[in-house]
Amino acid sequence: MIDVPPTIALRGLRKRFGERVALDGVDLMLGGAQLVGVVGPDGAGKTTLLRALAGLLEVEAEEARVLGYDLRGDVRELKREVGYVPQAFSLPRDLSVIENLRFTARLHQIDTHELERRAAELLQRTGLAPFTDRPAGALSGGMKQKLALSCALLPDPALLLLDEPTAGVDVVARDEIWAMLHARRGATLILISTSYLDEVASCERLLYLDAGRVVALGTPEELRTRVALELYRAWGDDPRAIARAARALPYVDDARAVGRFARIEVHRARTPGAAHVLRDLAALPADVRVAERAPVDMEATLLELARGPNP
Amino acid sequence: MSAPIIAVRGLTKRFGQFTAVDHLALRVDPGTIFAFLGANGSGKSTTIRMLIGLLRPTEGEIELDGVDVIREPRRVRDRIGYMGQKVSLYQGLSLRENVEFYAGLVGLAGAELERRWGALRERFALGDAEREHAGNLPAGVRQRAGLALATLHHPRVLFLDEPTAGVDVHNRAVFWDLIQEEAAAGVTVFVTTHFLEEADYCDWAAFIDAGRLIANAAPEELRRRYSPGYRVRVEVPPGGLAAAASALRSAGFTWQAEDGTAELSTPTLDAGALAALERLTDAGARVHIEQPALADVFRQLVAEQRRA
Repeated sequence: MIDVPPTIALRGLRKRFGERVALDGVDLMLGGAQLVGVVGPDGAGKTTLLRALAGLLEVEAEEARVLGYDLRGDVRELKREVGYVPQAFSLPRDLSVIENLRFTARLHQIDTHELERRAAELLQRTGLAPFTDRPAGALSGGMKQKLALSCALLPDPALLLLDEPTAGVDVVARDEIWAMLHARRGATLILISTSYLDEVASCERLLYLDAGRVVALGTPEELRTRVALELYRAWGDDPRAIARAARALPYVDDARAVGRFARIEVHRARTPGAAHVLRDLAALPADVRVAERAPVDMEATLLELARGPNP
Repeated sequence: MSAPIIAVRGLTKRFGQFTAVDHLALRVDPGTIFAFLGANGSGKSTTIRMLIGLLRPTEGEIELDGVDVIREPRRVRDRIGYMGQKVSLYQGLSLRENVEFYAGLVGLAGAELERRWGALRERFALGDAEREHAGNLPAGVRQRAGLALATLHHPRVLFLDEPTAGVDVHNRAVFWDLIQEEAAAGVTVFVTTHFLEEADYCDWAAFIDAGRLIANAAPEELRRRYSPGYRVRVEVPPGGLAAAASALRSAGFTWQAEDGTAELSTPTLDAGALAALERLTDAGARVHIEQPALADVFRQLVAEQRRA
């Protein structure tokens, strides 16, 4: 058996910006062709980690290898092999859609025939085909992001790093971006940061960062079952009134109206047991018609991970 | 029905040949949270700029809290608060200095400012951030500070343009608690977002596409029209479903039953449907309800629009 080195091998990765410690000893081994969501609270270090992996930062570490290159050494070759989409749109705005693709192809020495073939496919998939002559700066937010992703995919990168590519993007354009990512499934290791819960749930694995460290790495299902929360739903005609009343229960951590139900979180350390909770909910001084225990969702999972191990 | 606090008729904005907003008609009831939704480039921000008197429409009428916004754009300024995705704070000033600067613009000073800001600082959990340079504030705190500044002068209507973009899930939840408190205190909130689950925290949702209104209803009504409806899984004791069958049928449910469990569906979960489910649980059934996601409602709407 050939021992394939992992695409990403980090031990004790640190990055400081002046006084501020952005990455505080990241340990991470990742390989294979999988779609990994990078999640965590604002300021957790998600952007810094993605930039470091793209070879854009000087870092300290005991080990820091990406695609076999040492992040502490010469990273020029690494930068050519990585596809990176930064948070802020960074392509030349006065170049048209097709000119941006040609420009990217030239940087990566992709020949004309190959460029035509790949560009046609990407334009088709993104729905950008009717807009090839439009300057990048004149595209809508969603189209800009699809172009940025197309340029990142054009050289067929071995590693794709996407920093909130769907922030401020509407749901239909998000679906198109995700269709492009799913099409790469099994071909490339993809790291993507996102704040959308549906996107988090559709990643194969999640890398949860907090305060510059890796707090958890696992499938969404593994993280979901790990959190010490119970979730309840109380349905009725006035879910806001139900949520207010539920907050008064001594063991309830949070309650909020969502459409026709109140979503109620109870920490496992405080729960009096599901039967007791359901009885209390039915007896609230608000008109609860149906109360049920619900599976822990992605929102509860992320909120609980953010609260940390000590409730 | 109370008089609307915002009434828009025939609102149109053309930029040369391009029609950004096309004969828009909206009415917003006071004290409600109004979600204004649409794809990138559909005309949301252009509409908001007209509603707050920053951009003159090509055609149409806008009345806000009794003021004709097109004829007297300056008169609406003290009735409204605005914050966008990029909160406008002076980066080199502390949050406190930003507050004082902004308070000066709206004529708030001295003991009155202390009282108002003190209350907001407490409620919005901004005490720790007060001395920080605005440029150093984390995204969630910055957005809360933006909302505090936008409400400093007690506006009647708050316009929030993608206020939670780029904000983490915890801070989004905190932010929406604050918005709902404002609405409960009588403030009208007009908000855009691409986190479509947030429309479920709103009383009303309008969708625009290519500058035209394509849906305008309460979230529950949008679900009824543009989703396959609620799905309900019921674990029933023997005979439980048969006893409730006529009540379920008259409440609009259809179902498929197999030994011990039943899959019910209903286009909407109104009071009658909830009462029928309540009767099932009283008879010892366990009920699990799936609410259609508003993201799917939006997908369906856009798909229908593109077919038309």
